[in-house]
Amino acid sequence: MTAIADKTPADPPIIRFEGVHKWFGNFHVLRHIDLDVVRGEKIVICGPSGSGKSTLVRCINQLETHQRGRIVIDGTELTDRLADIHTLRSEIGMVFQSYNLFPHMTVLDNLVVGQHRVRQLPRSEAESIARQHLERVRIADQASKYPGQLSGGQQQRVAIARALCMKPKIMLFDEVTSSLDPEMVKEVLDVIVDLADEGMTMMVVTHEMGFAREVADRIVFMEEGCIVEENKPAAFFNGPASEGGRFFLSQVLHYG
Amino acid sequence: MSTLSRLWGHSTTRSLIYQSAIVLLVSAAVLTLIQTATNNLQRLGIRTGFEFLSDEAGFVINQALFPYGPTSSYGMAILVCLVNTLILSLLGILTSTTLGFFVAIARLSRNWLLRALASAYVELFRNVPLLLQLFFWYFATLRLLPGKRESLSLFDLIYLNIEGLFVPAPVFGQGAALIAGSILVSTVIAGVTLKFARQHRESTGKPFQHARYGYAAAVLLPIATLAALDFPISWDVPVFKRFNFEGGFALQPEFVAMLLAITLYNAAFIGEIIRAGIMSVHKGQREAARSIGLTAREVYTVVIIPQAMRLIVPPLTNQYLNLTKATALAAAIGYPDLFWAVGGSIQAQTGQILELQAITLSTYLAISLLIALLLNWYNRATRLRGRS
Amino acid sequence: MSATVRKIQPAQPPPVGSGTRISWLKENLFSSLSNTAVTLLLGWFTVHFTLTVIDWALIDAVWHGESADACPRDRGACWAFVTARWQQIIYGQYPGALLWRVHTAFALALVLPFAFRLARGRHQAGIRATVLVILPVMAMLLLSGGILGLEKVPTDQWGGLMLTLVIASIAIVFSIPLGLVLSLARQSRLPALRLVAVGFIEFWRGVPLIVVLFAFVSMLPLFVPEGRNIDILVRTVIAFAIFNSAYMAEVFRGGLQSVPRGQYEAAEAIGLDYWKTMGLVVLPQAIRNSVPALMNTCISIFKETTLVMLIGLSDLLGVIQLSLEDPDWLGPTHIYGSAYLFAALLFFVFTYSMSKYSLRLENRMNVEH
Repeated sequence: MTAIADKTPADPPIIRFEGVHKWFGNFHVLRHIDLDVVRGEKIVICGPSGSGKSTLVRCINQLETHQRGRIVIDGTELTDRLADIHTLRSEIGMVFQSYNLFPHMTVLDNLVVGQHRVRQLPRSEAESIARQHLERVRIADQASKYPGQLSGGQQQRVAIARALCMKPKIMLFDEVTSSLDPEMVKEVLDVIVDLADEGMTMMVVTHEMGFAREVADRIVFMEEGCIVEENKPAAFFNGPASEGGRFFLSQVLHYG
Repeated sequence: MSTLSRLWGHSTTRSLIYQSAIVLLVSAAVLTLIQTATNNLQRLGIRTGFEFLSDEAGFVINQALFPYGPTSSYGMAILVCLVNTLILSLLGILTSTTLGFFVAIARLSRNWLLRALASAYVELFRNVPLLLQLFFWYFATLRLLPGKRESLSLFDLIYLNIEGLFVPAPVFGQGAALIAGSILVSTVIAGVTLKFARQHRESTGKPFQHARYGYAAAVLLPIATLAALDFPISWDVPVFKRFNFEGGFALQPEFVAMLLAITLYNAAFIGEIIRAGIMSVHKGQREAARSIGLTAREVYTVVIIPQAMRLIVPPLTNQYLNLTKATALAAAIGYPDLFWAVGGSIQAQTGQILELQAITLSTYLAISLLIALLLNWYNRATRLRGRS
Repeated sequence: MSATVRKIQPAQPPPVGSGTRISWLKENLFSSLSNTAVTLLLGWFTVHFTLTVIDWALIDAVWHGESADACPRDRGACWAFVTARWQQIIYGQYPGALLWRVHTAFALALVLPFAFRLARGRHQAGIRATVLVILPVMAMLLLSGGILGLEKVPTDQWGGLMLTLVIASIAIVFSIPLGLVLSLARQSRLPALRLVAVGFIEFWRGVPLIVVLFAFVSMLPLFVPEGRNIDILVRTVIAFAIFNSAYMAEVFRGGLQSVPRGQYEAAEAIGLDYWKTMGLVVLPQAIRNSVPALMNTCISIFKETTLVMLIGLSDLLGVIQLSLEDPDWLGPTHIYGSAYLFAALLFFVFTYSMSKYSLRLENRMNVEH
């Protein structure tokens, strides 16, 4: 179990993993994951490739299903036959490494489609909410363009706005800057930092250590499907408590 | 440097020289061919020109949409057979697309057995030549049907036997025009309901509950009109009297065999095209759609299908083109299509090969061009806008 | 908060029941009520159908016989037709005593790809070019004869599977280079050349092959000076080659378009001229990328050979059709069924192997990259 300071003990965790295991065929990708995330907490998950970071995050909105253990999201347990998985998913926002914007719709329509279809908002209301969020990610002038006409950094910011339009309780970020050219990484990270400052609960999988240090309340370090270390960011970056963490950090932080 | 080598060095002049050479070469080749042909034609005493089109043909065409008899002209024969080709092509496109759609769904199904059977169908029917399949249906299968007396029948309305498929033909009594009018009106009603439902959803977010009444009205209107006019459309049901069927409409076994072969053959390709298109949509699109909470059905209709259509339509139109060209094979079993008329009967009688081939080739070319233009228009209208 | 450190846990096998096999069954066949119903229905149908086919094709079939009487209607497949007509089906009317020439010719053709791949060393290109030219020529000479003391076998005696393979091979061998040249012409900078190429390609792609075959066979005499008569098989093969070169050109066009612009620019930067760029940099990549679609077209050509029966040549289908109309076998419809199914099986074996070979080629080339 994890110990969480600075939060009232009465807050139930908004995400809870209890003894979660997952296999891809014979490959044991998640091994006995125990994790609690409290509302408003920002968790950064890092670790070597193949350690199961993305899989863990994708289990939260059931893009992947677990085979053993329990996952409870805001009081609802994720099971095989969850009837209102759609409602649950609409309350969890996810941003992908490859943006995954709908190329056949304008930027505005990308943001409107979820609100219109899932929340059943009238188009005009959905559009005004969409424009607000486009403002928030500083891309309001591109509303009528198509994703193919935008740069990678712009597309990713639109993807964040699309997730935010659904007014999620939890935001999941799966290596969202790994596909971007270096000069566009900052504009996306800035948006996420702003979001963190506003108190959003988030799980971020990333390799950007400087960003992790600034945004995270807790660092979760994974190796070979297990959570090997959980620590405060300052402590982790000064000297990880686990051997795996030390090795990983030495590989990642080079050339300044 | 001499003028000549300076000209040669200059690339624009050089390309002009090359191109003039090409034009001269091609023209020379064409002229030689024309010259040789004219000589040979004169030598063999074959007539030239297109006047023969108005001569009497003197043969019978089994399946004709327009009235055609032995005194009709060659031109008329060609027209009738062209219509036959088009009917076969259009029907073939319709049936094979429908079947292909179901094959694609089967191939994408969760059930392994269904997937496996669909794959077996696709592999089998794609790899066996169309002509062989045609012969199989015509010579080996439809020939096994019973004679007229023992026809297989469906509800005593449709009869299948060795001499063809006999279906009821509609007879239009008085007031039939009003029926047509009512169908038109009901289409308009359906269209208006659809548009209104869509607008309602856009402006309020909720689906339009009363849409079903609009659609019901659209369906009921023609039926009500029929009843009101005391059912002026009757069906001339084929009835077997003594030796033959009277009434109804007879589809020749050649037509049935060809339609069957074309449908089964092309559905295998079309199924694959549709499936490949759907599967080519990036997996992340599905995930993104699911992660904002769209239902499985919405994921398909809002995100996957629109993108898949772009990938499906070009190879699909190509397949339709192949289908249209393949209808020429119907001549092998005696179905009177364009190739049958031109390649066999008319040529044998008039010997005017050049003119006939010119007609055939240009007709097929025209059809191909038309389909290509339609495809071009579609591509331009739906292209994904990229970085300009 | 203090750090929490845990040891890495060892991997465990997946739980029984969610192991691959049983969960696969559950997921794919029995996941829901409707799914189970479909499985049971299809399963029953498949088993029933397979048993019927085995019964008809193997157990109850007639394997030997000389005429239609050997195949009564209440027995199964009439393979007697196939065994009785075996020689015509495979060789057409080729003289029985000279079949060794057919076998040798096809052995030479089969050796070609191996010889091609085994060529190594300094003279690799030379050896390959020689092999590519000499072996096919030798094969053709063996088949037709007329020189070196070999008795001449006129082409109207060629038939059956042998003829199908000959037409398909020659058509493929000539349409590929022709198609390559056409596709290069199509993307040429000279507008006149481009126009001629486009016109040529679109013309042949817009008309049915059967019409083209018919036109060639019936019209070629008109365009040839008096007295020169060209063999029907030659006319047919020319028609096939020209017609399919347009399709091959389209395949190569796709391959050429898939070579990134950067390749042209890099070659230019090194100082290569047009021909060297194409030969050393662009074409090898373009051809590699075209292979799947090329194989597809080859399979189409193989299937198209059945059309030659409509212009009087006796390919596999043509021989079968003729034999079915022979008075010995004429009459019973069920014999037609057996004959066509056998032909279908033969075609299927060839085309299926070709597509599997194509997949293997693709995989091999992907690995090489």
